Amino acid sequence: MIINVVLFLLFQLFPSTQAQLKFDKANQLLKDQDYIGAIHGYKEIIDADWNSGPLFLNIGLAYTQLDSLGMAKAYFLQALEFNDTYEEALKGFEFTVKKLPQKAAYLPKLPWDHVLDWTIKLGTTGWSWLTMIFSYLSLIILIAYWFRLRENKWVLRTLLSTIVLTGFLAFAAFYTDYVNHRYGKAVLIKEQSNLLKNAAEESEVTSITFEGYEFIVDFLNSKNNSDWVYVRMSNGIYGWIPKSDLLIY
Amino acid sequence: MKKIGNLNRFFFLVSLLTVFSLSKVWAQDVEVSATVNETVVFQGERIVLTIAVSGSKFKKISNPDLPELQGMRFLSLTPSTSTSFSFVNGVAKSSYSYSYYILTEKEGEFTIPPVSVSIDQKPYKTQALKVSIRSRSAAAKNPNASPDIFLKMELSNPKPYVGEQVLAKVVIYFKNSLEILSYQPTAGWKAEGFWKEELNDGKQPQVTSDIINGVSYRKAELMKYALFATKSGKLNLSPFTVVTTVRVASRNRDPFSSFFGGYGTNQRNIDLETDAVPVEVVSLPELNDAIFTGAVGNYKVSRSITKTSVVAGESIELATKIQGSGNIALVTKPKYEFPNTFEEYNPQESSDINRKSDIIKGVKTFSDIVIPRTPGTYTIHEVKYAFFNPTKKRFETTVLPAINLVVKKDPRAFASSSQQIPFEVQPVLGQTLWYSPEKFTVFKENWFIMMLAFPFVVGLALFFYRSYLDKMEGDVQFARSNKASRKTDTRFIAAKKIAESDIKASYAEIQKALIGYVADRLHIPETGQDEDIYIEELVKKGMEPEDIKKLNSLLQKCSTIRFAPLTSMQDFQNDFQIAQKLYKSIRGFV
Repeated sequence: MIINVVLFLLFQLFPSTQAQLKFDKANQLLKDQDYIGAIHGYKEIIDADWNSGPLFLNIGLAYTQLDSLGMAKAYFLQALEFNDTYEEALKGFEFTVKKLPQKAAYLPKLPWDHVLDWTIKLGTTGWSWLTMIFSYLSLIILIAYWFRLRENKWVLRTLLSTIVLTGFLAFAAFYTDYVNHRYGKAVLIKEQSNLLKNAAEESEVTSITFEGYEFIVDFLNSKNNSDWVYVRMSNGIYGWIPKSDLLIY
Repeated sequence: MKKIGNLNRFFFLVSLLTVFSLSKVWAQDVEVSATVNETVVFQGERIVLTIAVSGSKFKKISNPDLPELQGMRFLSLTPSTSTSFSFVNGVAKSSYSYSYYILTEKEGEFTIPPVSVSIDQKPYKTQALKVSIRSRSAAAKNPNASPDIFLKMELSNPKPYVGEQVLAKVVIYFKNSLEILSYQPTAGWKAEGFWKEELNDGKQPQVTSDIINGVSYRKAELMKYALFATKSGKLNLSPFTVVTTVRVASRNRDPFSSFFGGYGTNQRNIDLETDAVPVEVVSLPELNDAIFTGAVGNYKVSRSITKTSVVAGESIELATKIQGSGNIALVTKPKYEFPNTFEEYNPQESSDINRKSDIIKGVKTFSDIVIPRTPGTYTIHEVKYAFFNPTKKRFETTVLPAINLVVKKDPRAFASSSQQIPFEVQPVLGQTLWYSPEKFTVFKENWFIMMLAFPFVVGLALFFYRSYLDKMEGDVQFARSNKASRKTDTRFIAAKKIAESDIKASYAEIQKALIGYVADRLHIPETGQDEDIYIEELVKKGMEPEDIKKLNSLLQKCSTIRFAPLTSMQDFQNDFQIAQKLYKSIRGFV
């Protein structure tokens, strides 16, 4: 009884404790080679809105052992987003790429794509806090300029630069939030699927896609379809694909 | 005129008779005729159609224009020709003949239509010829008719079950006077509704004797097929055709065998065809509680597994062996339920079927390849496998016992992989940092918005303050106006303080306070002005006349008090209160 109360309080105070507990249980199943049970346990953590690099890495490993390489690739890609699992996830990702029989073509990234990747990597919260910091900095410089250093032109220039930078940071925060809400990533988990011109089975086939192919999902264009999503392939081709064929993350 | 008329009629008649007699002679000079070597024949026999042209006065003959035939067909449209010349009573006569082979195909009475021949651009036609084609098998059944040779399809069972083997023999019957030199089955026999397997023991057909309707025949089994009906109901085996080469051992005067004795050499090709054979296929009875994969016959069924103890990820082969006689080639793989953690791969199949005897026998092995992915103890459940035994006319069931399987952990699961590509990624265990997915947007949180708005609000406020300060510094009137209240308040305080020591001086301070306030607020110079100017401005601004009167009175007192001999503190305090009330009143509209 006491232990239960303590655990309850612990979970209330530190919600991630429960995630760690489930993670440890799932890890034990993974060690026991009960891959399906382990995956079930890991997904419970995801359903409870907790993420971590090791979580995604271990799911990728379990799927690799089950020879479900599309799923494995999707989770290794997610594990790549975390610094602590980047190297191991990269090995797993490269393994799945080599093992998957069909290779996807990738368009070379434009400078804007790199900027966008970097912007998204920092995240809305990061940009928001930077905006906050620079807005206060601007205020301090403003006070100094107005009430102490009115005649100093360098202070004025610094003030204007800081205000412009604050505006840019605010824009970046809004844009990152927009991109995060509009677009998502996905990996094909079915052996083969057709990319169609329209969201209907009988529609013209635009391209044939294979397990492990990566996509950018356009949630805004897909919002009126419950079973189909509008996607962009890594080679730049757009089309519709059944939602159930993808693991969207 | 009348005589002349009769003479003319005579000459006309003579001329007409002369022309008629000449044309008849010319016409009789060319003769075109058609003949067949046989007019009563069996199906599949060949007859020869000969077109003969003879005459003495023709130069050019075209090839005969062959008509469409019914129940028969020309084997070749190129004729064999012959030519002969003769002199009779000093007249030379030429004869040409064109011979065509015709194959008789259908039973019945048929006519070969007239054949056209063009001789010196003039068309001639032969007479039509009648040919009677008879069925050999019908003739064989007819006690009054006995063909020299015929073909028959003999079935082991005309009422089989679906999937039961039926032995179909193609048997040739022929009389002693004939000798079979060779035979060639026509390709493409379709046994619709049946799966057929040709049986071949590698031996030459053996000739035996038989008596049909009192007639002695020799017979030989040319072909053997194992037939398996794939559907129930009334089916029909289509005719089977064999092209034979026969030789007549001696001349036969039988009316139906005249073909063999009447034309040229005694070696002939004959197309023989069996009759269509009806088969009534019986459907299998119902089966509920066992696996049935189409096996009909007599079988032994067993199931085995390569290993009962494996490590996770190791493949296991579960073999199902079906051995016996029957439709072994048509038996399909039984489907088993495997545990969920077993990964199933494409099953394999192998068979060893003996088609040399009259009954097809063999072994068929189905292999299910599965890979257990998770350690544990598993059971592949017991199943009942059924086959239909047509001899016993019922299903027989074989119980394939359950198989227990132990799957152990693979100690090298993450250290290495069975695949060729090395995979050395190890799972991360133990404590980890947890992140909550960024489902909310921090800048949409109220506390964050307030924190973010604070510097902007403060900045705005400072902007106004800075502007105020700038105006205070640069705009004297604005500065006077803004400082007026504070200055007046200071003067009133000073007046009160001074009053304790010098009442007259404190009146002067009250005057300064009131006039100074009005001067500052209305932008009027404070010094060197008549008090009336201030009063007038206040009247203009709408100050109450009573207050004007009081103000005027107080200001006069302030101006004149220094000339008064004595002043009391009580008076000063009354005047001080009046001054403050007036100040309040002035602030209301200035």
